[in-house]
Amino acid sequence: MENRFGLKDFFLFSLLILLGIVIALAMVQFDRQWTTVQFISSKINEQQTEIQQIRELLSKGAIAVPSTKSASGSVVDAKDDPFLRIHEAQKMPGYAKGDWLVYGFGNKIAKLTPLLSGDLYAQRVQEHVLDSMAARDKYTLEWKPQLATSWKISDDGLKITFKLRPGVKFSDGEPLSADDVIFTYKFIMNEKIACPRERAYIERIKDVVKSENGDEVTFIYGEPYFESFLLAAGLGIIPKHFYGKFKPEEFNQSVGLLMGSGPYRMDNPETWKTGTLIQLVRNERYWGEPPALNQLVFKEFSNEIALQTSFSNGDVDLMEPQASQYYDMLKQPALVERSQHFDFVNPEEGYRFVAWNQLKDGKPTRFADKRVRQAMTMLVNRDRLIQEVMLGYAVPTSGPFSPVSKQNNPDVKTLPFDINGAKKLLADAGFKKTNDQGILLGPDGTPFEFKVTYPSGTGNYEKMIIALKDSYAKAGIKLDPDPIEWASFTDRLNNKNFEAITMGWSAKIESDINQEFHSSQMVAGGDDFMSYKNEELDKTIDEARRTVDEGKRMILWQKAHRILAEDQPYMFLWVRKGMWFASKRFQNVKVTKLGLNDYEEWFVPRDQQKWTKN
Amino acid sequence: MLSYIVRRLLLMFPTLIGVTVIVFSVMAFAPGGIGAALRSAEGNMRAEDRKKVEAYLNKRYGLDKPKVVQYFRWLNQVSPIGFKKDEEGNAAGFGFKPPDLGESFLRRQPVIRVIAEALPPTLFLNLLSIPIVYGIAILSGIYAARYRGRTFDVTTGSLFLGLWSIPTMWSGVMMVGFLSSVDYLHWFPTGGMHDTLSAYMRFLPSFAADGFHRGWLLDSIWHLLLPVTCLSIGSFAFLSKLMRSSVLENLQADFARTARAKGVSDQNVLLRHVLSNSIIPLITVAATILPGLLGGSVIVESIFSINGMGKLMIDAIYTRDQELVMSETLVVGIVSLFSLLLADILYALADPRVSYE
Amino acid sequence: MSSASINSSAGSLADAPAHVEKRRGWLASVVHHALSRWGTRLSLAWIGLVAFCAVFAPFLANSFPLLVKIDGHWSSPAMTHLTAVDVTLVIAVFSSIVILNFKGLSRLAQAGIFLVILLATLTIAHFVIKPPLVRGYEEYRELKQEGRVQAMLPAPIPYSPSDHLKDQFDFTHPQPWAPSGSHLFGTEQNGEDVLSVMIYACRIAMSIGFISTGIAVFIGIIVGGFMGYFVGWVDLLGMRLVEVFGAIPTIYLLLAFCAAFERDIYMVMAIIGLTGWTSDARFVRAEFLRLRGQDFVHAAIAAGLPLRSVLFRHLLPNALAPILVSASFGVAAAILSESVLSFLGLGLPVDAASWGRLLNQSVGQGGGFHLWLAMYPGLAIFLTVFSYNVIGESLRDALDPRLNPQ
Repeated sequence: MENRFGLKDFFLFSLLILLGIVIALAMVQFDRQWTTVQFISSKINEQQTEIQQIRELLSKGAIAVPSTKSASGSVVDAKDDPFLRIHEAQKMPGYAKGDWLVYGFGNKIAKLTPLLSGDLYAQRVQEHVLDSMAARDKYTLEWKPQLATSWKISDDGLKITFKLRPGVKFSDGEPLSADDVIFTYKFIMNEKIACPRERAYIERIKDVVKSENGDEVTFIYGEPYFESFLLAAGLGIIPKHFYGKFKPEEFNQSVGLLMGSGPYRMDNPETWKTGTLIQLVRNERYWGEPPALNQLVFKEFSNEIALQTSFSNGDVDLMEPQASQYYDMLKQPALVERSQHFDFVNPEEGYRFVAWNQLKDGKPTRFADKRVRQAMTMLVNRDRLIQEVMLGYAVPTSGPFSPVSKQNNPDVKTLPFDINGAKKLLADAGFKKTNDQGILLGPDGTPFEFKVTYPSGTGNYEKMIIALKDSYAKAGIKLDPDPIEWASFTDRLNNKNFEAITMGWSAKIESDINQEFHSSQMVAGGDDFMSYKNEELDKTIDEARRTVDEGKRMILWQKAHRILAEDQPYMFLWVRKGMWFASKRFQNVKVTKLGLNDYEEWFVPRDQQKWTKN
Repeated sequence: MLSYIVRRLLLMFPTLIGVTVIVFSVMAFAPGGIGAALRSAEGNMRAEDRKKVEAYLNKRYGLDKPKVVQYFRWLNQVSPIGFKKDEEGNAAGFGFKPPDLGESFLRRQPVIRVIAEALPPTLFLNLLSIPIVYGIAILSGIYAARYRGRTFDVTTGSLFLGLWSIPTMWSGVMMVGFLSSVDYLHWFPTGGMHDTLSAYMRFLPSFAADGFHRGWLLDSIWHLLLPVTCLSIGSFAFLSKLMRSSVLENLQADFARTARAKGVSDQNVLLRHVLSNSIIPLITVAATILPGLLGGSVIVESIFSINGMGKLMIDAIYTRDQELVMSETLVVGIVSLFSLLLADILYALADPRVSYE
Repeated sequence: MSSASINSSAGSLADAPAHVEKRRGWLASVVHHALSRWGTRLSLAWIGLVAFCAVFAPFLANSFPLLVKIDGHWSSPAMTHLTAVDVTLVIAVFSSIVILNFKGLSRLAQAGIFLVILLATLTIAHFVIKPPLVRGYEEYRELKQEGRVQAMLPAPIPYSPSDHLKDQFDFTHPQPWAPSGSHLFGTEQNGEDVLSVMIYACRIAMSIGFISTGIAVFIGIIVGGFMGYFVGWVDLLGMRLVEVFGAIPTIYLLLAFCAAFERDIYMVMAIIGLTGWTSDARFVRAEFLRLRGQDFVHAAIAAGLPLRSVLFRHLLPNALAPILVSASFGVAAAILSESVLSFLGLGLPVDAASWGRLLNQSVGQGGGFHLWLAMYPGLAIFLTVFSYNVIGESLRDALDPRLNPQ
């Protein structure tokens, strides 16, 4: 029995394991403390340097005038006041600073570092931290000054000059200057930085120069382009002294390096890890009107049900539910009672469609016939489809523009739901007989069977396809659902290897439909993957893109809309509504022309504050 | 013994190459490639812009090369001996170099960092469930052997077999849906490993003026209870059965019979002589559990929203994150081969009758 | 996924070389012994029920009535909508009953005849039977409402699994519906009747279990047999192959394979089979290696019998009983694997009736938790897996000489 593993050893072993666990726990706890201590010490350091700076200023006899309300109030008149809405909110009863906003979303943010991250939610975080030259007012859609106090565009549209706001500081206290603007441009254009996407956009800017005294920057373009102002004004300015210190490879592999001059700042840009809570705290050095909420917290959820539960429990203050969730939540009186909800049609919400491939393996398909495409649309009861799939939280659309967009042509009506009309169109196109299994036969005698390819596992595509399948079955058309993963899906698109495909496009305030419908995009890898070509449409799009005058341009977009509605290269289905649920304690939550207003305008009355402990 | 170990270690290389070749060919077979991650991440990007991005990524990760070249590029990258590259990416001779697991396409971070972030939750989850499983399995195994054929034996036998047959996703979904959902009991959180505010919590539970605070430790336990239960319940059957048959075998062995003949009580025979021998197989099995432990329970992690190795792998496969998939398989493969070796060595150490010479 | 470890222990426990001379009788006695337990019988009864549902699904759940009298004419829409597979299954069951009652034939001949009939029916049915492909499931419900139906014999569950209840759309009461009188187990998110889907899903459960385990056992025997027969470098190579598959968690392989190939039920079967053969191979190899050294094998070789013949014709059948044990655990594992894949939304086509797919919907994409979508399909998976495990367990006990003193 010697040298064997005995019972006593077993207990000893268990004890050892137990001890190990206890030690591990103790180490975890020690680590937690250590992070906090380190954080506090870095804060103290920062404050010390700031006190030092203030002392220096005082010793020079200058009274430091923070360039906040007084400065901006005197220079800019009320109409151009970038903080008009916040000033309005401050006059509301119960306005108080404090409390947090916890925003839960069912997605993952891989990176917060600006330029490296293309995903929507990262952008939603970044927009509170980074400032740009100008921003669109969500209520009027006009540009309002931010880092620039004014700007002028040269007559040929090739030069845009911004006058920089004096006294703006980054959240670590360093001043923002024209050099930072130039650095941002140069940084993006650096081939070693892994931001090919940004670079592809910014490439249209040929150069950025500053004036001699450094209070103006000029963006220079090679050719006129209708989005050139957006390119310059929307560029998030990053600090040279912070990003300049990283090697390109260090920067490329970073995840949370997010610093700017916006109303909020990240507490831990250098230690943030993917998957952990994202906390933005109020930037006390912000040049503008400070927002009311102390913190914006972004919390990731990997499934929707967990998110919904957390919202119901009050662990999350704001969420953007799916249609079925929204429907579900509205049915819970207790939940509705202590929250506020919003649903609205939004020009930035994209549309859902089915694209008919007109050219497969070099041969025109049955969808090359316009009558067939029109019939396919007329066989679908879109209102009911929206009710079934989106539970009513969408509006049918007749073209690629949101019904509330200026590009939308109000005279174009959606094709009606009309089975007999559709059958007649099909008969005209040669689809007259059916075979012994009940399937409609084409002019060449082939049965009308086709596959609809859609991305599996995301959204409500499956529900939609099954509804479509039943609709088409009524006319003797057999639809086979063909779900594939995103990875394979894009491959099919690139190779045009599909019969019909469904997905959604996102939209902007002004969408450029060149990408989807211009026949020049028919090339491999282009987005006219259904090989649709209409010369009149091509001409209209080209003209619209060259036209700088907005009024004239909109007429051209509306013309394009009419052509598309007639041609039906896509079956345009619907534009989803924006849906939000927010905790009731937030005041001044409004729906603007671009969705909910900025969180900077929200506030929580003192007695309702929840997260602030002091 | 030493030569045996060396032999086994050498044989690991072909096995690991086999593993990576299989996984690589499957990934290479799969349609999609880098474009997938792009389209989903970049949305409405103009086609010509997208091409530039693709060209950039192709250059960065060598994805435009033939598949075979890509595989050897990866192999060279992970191996500690191979063609070196300098800062600029130019060839710099052949020799020793630090092995590099590559970079995740989607996260644009080194794979090693991604794995280092995903590993702790999985390890933590499994390290919690292993003692529970072993404790229950050993005790019930002993009792079942002692009272063989009686009610306890039969009940635990079929109960554990039943628990083993429960699909993990079923127990997980039922737990989340029934115990966590607000529609039903809502006793537990629906997912994750910590509360939103866990960073601000004290470590231990405490009573304060405004009521009870559960503290970080209790909060973690509260979050982990369901996933650990879900992970554990299926594992009793095998270990308990093993323990039972091992105890039975030893009870019938000569030494036990001798001890009984000497007049040692049944109780003492079991505790003093039989038990210590019977635990041996369970210890050796412990080493083989390790790979499963690393692989993480894909289902449990995805149901309970825990960002561990299993979930990482699903995401990596879905998004065709080639280097992440390859390197994660390699890591899991190495660990599981080593643990198999460890099991054999432990077995030899624990039982002198076994020899590998 | 832990089944692999149990499988491998099945082999090591089954040391029963003493019964070589009366192998068939021994196998029969093992089966008989296993069957004497009531747990095994209950399990067999459940599997029998699943098999019954699989075969007679169109007669149990169908939107088309079995018999109907419209405008004075009798017809059977259920029959006209039968597919080739439906017909083949029914014919196969009846023919097997008939064949089994022919006492004069040997088991091998019976199996041969059965296979011939099966293949013949499948081929003929495939060409002859052409059911309508685009179906209006609500047709007869609407006819009934219009009052044109004079008499009707509906199927016990009057809904087909892909009947989305288009005529019963109710905006204020969206799918899925909780269980009620007309839908005993409720409906799923597209309006399909859960009970009906579950009945059709028996087909996938049965076929996936048997076919993928068949593939696994086949590969296992071939690879293991070659390793045990050739020894040397073939063995070394084979063991590496076994190790390669053992070193990656099965679920990773399943996920990767499913991501790479098209959604197809046969593909899923092949994938599950391809990832599950290693334990069988290990077992067969170990058995061959052990037996090679035995005296009676040496004697047989000395008597002029080639080693190949000894191993494959005489020893392999002897190893069949333990393989049976591992196969029944394998069937359970295969069913589990399929439902895991369906649960993760992989593998099977979207409109395939599968228990795992229903389970997947229980935690909706946005909606809450639907208890009935988790409970019933989960229970069905559990009972089936449990049954196969119980059968495997009792077969193993019956094989174990220590537990079964004769």
